[in-house]
Amino acid sequence: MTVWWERALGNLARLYLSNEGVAAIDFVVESRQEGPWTVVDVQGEVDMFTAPKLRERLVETVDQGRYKIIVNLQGVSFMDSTGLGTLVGGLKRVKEHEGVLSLVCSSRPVLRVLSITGLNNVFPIHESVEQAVAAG
Amino acid sequence: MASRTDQGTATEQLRLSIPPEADYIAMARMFSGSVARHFGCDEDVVEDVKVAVSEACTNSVKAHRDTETLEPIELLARLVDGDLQFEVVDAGGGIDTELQKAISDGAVTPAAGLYEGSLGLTLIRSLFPGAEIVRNEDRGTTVRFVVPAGQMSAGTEAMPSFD
Repeated sequence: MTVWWERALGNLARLYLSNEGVAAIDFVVESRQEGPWTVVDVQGEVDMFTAPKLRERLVETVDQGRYKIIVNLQGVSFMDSTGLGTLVGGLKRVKEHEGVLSLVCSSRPVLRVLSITGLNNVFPIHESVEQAVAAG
Repeated sequence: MASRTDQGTATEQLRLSIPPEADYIAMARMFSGSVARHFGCDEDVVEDVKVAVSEACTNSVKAHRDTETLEPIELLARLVDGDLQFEVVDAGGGIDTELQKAISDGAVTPAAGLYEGSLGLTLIRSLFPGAEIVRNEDRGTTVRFVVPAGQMSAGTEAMPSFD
């Protein structure tokens, strides 16, 4: 007889094996230029383990004198307070140079934590990189 | 590893022990999300559970680092009177009692917490208002929160007998 906890473990195992699970484990941060904007594309889950890679990329971008940054979170399925803190750190850095840090996000879980913390009122949030670029 | 106690139905539970390292937090999230989903929580609640567990585990990993504690962090899930209860128990230095009181009193908001380093705990309380964040009697901290039965589907399975 399969009991409920065995089925729960089965679900967990499938998560590991599914594309969703693989995507959740992989974490990628890449940068590209869109005119004056540096677009930082993020994929995966942003937490205590992965956030340092995002922080490093944001610091590097500002150190290169690029103060107009779009962080594209369309590929992010999860973010906790460590990720939020990283974004706020990036915002502080660009503000020191009168720069801008915008977010692109339509993921419900990520929008929810932004909303609960009130950060949806701190960051300009757009539905696409094109919209963010157009908003200037 | 997942296991169950053998002390009767009332204490039957799922348990996951993770090393106190940041790369295992994702595993705790998957475990808790899978358990919540299994019990019929809708996807918004599943995501809230994952955030709360991730925040609790993050604080636990930091607490273990600060005290150089190598013992595992325990994540437990159990049904209590039809509600789904989660607990994250660590063996770190224990939450500062003043911070514990301030969070319990609602004196630290998520927005303020972001700048005071306590955002994770206030976020848990925002998602699960009845969440308890307590300093353990011996050492460490326990974060406990409950998904009410009303937030699980009508088809939720009762905790079965293991006979």
